[in-house]
Amino acid sequence: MTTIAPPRGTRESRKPSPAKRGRAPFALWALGLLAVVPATTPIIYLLWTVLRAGVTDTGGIPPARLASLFASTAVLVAAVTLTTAVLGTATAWLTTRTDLAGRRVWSTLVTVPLVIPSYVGALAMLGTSGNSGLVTEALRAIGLPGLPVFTGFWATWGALSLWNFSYVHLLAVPAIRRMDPALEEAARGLGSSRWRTLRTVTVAQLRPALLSGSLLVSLYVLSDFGAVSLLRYETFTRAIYAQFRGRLDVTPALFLSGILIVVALVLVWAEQRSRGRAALAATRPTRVPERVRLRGVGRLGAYGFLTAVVTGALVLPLATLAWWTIRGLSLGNPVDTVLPELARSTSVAGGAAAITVLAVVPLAILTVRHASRRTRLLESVTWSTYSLPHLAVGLGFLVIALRFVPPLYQTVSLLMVAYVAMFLPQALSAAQTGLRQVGVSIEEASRGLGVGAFGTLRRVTLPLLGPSLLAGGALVFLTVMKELPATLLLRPTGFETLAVRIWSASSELFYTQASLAALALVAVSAVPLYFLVARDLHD
Amino acid sequence: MPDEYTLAIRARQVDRRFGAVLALDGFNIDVHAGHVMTLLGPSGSGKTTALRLVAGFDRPDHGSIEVGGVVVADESTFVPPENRRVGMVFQDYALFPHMTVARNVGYGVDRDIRRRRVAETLDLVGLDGKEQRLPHELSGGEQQRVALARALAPEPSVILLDEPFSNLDAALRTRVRTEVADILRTAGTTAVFVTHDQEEALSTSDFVAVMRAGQVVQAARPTDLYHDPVDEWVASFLGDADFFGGEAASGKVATPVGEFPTNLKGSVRVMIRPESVVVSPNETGTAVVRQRQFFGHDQLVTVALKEGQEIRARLGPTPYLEPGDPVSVSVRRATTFPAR
Repeated sequence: MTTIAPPRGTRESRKPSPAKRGRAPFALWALGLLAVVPATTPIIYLLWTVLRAGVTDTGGIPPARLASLFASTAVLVAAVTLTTAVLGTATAWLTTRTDLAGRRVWSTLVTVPLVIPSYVGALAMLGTSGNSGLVTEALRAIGLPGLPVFTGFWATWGALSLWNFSYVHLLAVPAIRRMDPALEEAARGLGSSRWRTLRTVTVAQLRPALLSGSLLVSLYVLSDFGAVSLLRYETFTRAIYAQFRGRLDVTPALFLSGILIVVALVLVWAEQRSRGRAALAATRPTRVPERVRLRGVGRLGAYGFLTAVVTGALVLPLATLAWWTIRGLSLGNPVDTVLPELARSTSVAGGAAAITVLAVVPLAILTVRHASRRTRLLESVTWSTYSLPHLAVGLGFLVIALRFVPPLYQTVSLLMVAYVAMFLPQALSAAQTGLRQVGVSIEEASRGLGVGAFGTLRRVTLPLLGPSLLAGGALVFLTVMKELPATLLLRPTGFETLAVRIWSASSELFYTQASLAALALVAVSAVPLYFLVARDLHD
Repeated sequence: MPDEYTLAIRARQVDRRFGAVLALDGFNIDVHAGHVMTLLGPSGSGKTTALRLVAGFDRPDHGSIEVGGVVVADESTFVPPENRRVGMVFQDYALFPHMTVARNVGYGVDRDIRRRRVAETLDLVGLDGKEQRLPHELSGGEQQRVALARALAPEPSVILLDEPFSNLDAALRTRVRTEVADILRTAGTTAVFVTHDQEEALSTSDFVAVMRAGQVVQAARPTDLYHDPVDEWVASFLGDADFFGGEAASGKVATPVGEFPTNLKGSVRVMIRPESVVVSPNETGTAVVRQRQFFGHDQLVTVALKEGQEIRARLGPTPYLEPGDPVSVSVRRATTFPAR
């Protein structure tokens, strides 16, 4: 008998997304490149500086100095990364896998420190300790000796750990949620001890998220300028700024920036790779694991730990800022001194957010709707500049302006170009996500109904993309508000933003002024950031 | 009727390659004005690609496509989708989520006649009263009808429907299918469906074009296609069939289930559909019932012939047959192909 069973009425799987819409229009490429080229120029320029210097000289920096900078930076990066990994995993585990009361509240509280930029954290550290610090005064009031001023390695390590561990928490929470309890049970059932199970199964499942979080924190520590400069710990960024300030010749600063960029690019590359791996390893657990019941000392210890972390990262710094602000007000400092800075900050941040969103639309359409090898290359070039040290990128912009377009030097325009270049990827990823949710067929439906490509963009795509663009713009707004090093380098003389004011007042020990500006900054960024973070955490 | 012979769509030697995959490979089709045509084929046979080329969402690598007698795509021409007067109903409906039903339907219509056309088409699809709803407030079947109304509203010369019923559950599908076919016939529009469902294709179309590996292997009216497929593959794709080998001589071919007339010579294959087979209980019969699947309204009986081969018969709910029962087998209709 010869019968061929026909595939009768089988449901056909969906066609692969018909994104292969042929070649992208020239205008899209032109607009996309217009957005990406400024973002990459300073990086390429800095890398070229290093390469060129590598064959001739090091810009006058002795190799021994270079080695000691490498060592001090590496020690700080390693110490902070390790500490944040432990802190973030601990808070994530306590707030997702145990039966502690108020887990959601704790989980939110340990992410709120993200509203505190490192230089504000450093300011709080300085304002807590030392001769007239908050804690010193409190200790003295009960007859104890005060605290010495927190500066140097330990203070920097503490500050960067306290204000970065939340990133690890944010990555670890979903990873812990995805862990399949059946795997641990299977290991125990196969005779594995509790400790061996933790090591070989539990931690192994968390590893992609931890690696990703650690690389992210390493990158932030490497790039940090605010905390290291205020707390006086010598790293690459502090040395670059010192070199730049102290001399007329910018070559040594450029050379150091180039080196910093190379190291950062390696971290960026590793982080992006690890992210891909983490996504691959993501599975859905078949059931929710039973919560670990903490009793007695363990429970008390857990509450104590969370309270200490939240106090150190959030309550103490905010209390210190408030205390110094009140002190200043009672001394007769006027409140409205920060208003011009607040206005400047919000207007440059708003302007940068608007321009970034506009620049991102053609780029998103190009990379999502006309995906090809070339657009993927464009996309990875865009991303490679993301999270590079702002100080180095800013210096690159500054030198390019000085040498090739002097009229741009010390203008708000140059500052805007730098902001857009640095924060393009943030808005791009929001726009791409949004665009992927707007089905291709919806746009095709519009074309088929007689509306041209531009009309479709205006009437269908953009209205549907609106919320994503708004979210991307909000993120850029917040990041620009907090940005310090590039603003410091590129701003016109006398153009003080909140961030610049906080930093300069702190370094001149005007804590009352700095605290007022810091509170204003935290207040403006707290509300939208809370919604962005809370949405990620609890959905 | 002269209209019967006007071509709404004509495609000649169309190729389309995606990387290493040749999605269309010498694709030809003629769709007569006013007809409902279905492109039927398994996954990956190029049906959807063909539809997208006609709509203008993609360009052919080679070949030419005409819509309503006008060349819309060939080596030197490409008419963008918005200028083709081709309506499309998408598998996922692709309704604009931020617009009401009325605004969706009126989207492709000129402003001065918009109100009237929206009212007319919504009436045609039976959705009057739902003008101000948003797409997500409608049921799947209603969304389907909005998508159809939106495609019909600009009075396109051709409507293309890409797997339009695949998102509906089985119970709803048959009903909506009939409704849509009725609406399209009332509107008098030429329509091209794409589906992989044989039953859907055979029951709703005037013409069915069977596709395989980027080509149309046979285009015919449903009845002709079912009874006179061009080869074994088409025969099996359209429904259950059993095949027997034989040698044709003097206009006949002999098989274990009887002699059948044929125009062919030499080695041939004989196709027999289960519903052409009659099985009756017979104490002296040489065939034996092997298996019986009872469906209520009918039954599929597999019979082992004394030569060792098996044949399937689709019978009414009676007679009652048990495995092992002796039976006699006769065949009312068979089709022959040359053996490969």
